Amino acid sequence: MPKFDKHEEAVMRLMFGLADSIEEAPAAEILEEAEKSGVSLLDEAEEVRSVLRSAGRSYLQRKLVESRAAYETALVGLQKESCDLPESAEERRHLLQGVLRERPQFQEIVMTAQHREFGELTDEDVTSFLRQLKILGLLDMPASPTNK
Amino acid sequence: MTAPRMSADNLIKELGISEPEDIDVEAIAQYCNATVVYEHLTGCEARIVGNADRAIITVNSDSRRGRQRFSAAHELGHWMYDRNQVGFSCTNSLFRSQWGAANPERGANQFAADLLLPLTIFSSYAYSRAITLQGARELAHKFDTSLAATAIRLVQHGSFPAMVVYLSHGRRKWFVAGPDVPSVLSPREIPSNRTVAWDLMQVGSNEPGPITVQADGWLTHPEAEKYELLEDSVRFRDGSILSLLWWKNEKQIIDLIEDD
Repeated sequence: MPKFDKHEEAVMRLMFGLADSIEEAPAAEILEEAEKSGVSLLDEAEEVRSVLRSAGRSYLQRKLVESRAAYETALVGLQKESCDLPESAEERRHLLQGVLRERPQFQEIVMTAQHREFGELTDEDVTSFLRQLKILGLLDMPASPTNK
Repeated sequence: MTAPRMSADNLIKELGISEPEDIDVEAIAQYCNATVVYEHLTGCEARIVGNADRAIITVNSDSRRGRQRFSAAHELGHWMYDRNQVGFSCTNSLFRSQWGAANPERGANQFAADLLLPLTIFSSYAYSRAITLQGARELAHKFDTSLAATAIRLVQHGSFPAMVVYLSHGRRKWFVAGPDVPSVLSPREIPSNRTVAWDLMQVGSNEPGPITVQADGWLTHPEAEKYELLEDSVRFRDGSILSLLWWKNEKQIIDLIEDD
């Protein structure tokens, strides 16, 4: 239970008192009062509905919002992750070739319908595959094929 | 942590998504432990590499946003349903050709459609909407999805009897009929020369707009010549054609139901 100071408690008592008096007042009296003050009860009701809808939506979407934040963090993490790949494109290509020889189950992974021949993989593709396999721990590979 | 395996509908519900603009595909994928990254890809729209618990979905950074979203959702579908069966999948750039019943990518496409065009939201937007390319495009814009995927959804869950047919190299590659279209009404392998699609194949113009055509130009049913369809066809840059066929005059369907 949160603690309130004297001033806050006084305001709360006043608000609760007002709420009670409105709850107990006849509907006709409230309508008359609103009309006199130039308040549209329909507009007020719509505003309250809108606040409630918005609060409900925020509550229901809290996991979505958290996931968006987690996504942004994951992206930064992926960019920062160092993969210790060989420096030259040729070495990286040899490394991937070696990996595919040792782990034929990855053949299916890399050689898709679109890339039937290993030679058709671009240097970018090779690096990207190696990085992602490594990041996911699917590749317990040495830093360079020559170190095997 | 083991990544959850959920249907698209359950994901939509779990994440409190209630409007098209809430469908944040990257956030949804991350909720399932799949991180979407954008890179230049050659010969491929998207791919997924995953271990038991985590995946990286790579989407072609050069593609249009609607296509990127669909690709990401499609790969997420593989992650949800094919995990441990395939460590990887690479999605062909010709999405439009992958809606045939026998295509192994169909399941992932269905997941993507369910995620990006969820029925709980889509139905109200599709209600009473004309089954035309313009109608489908307006929805595609609202949901940030591809025309083909949206047209299929509109035919399946819109308010009127209709069918979408995809032609490649002049022949029917696949078609999807709405629930109110009797199964005896199936489209020809090759539409006749009395259809807009035929004209588009010959002349190569892009999109003449909705035109009423005789139904036997499209349908194999023996009595089709008595009826009409509203056809709206578009020719894509690769020469393939997407046709929306709308029984705006429902007489043919009513007659078939009465005959039953």
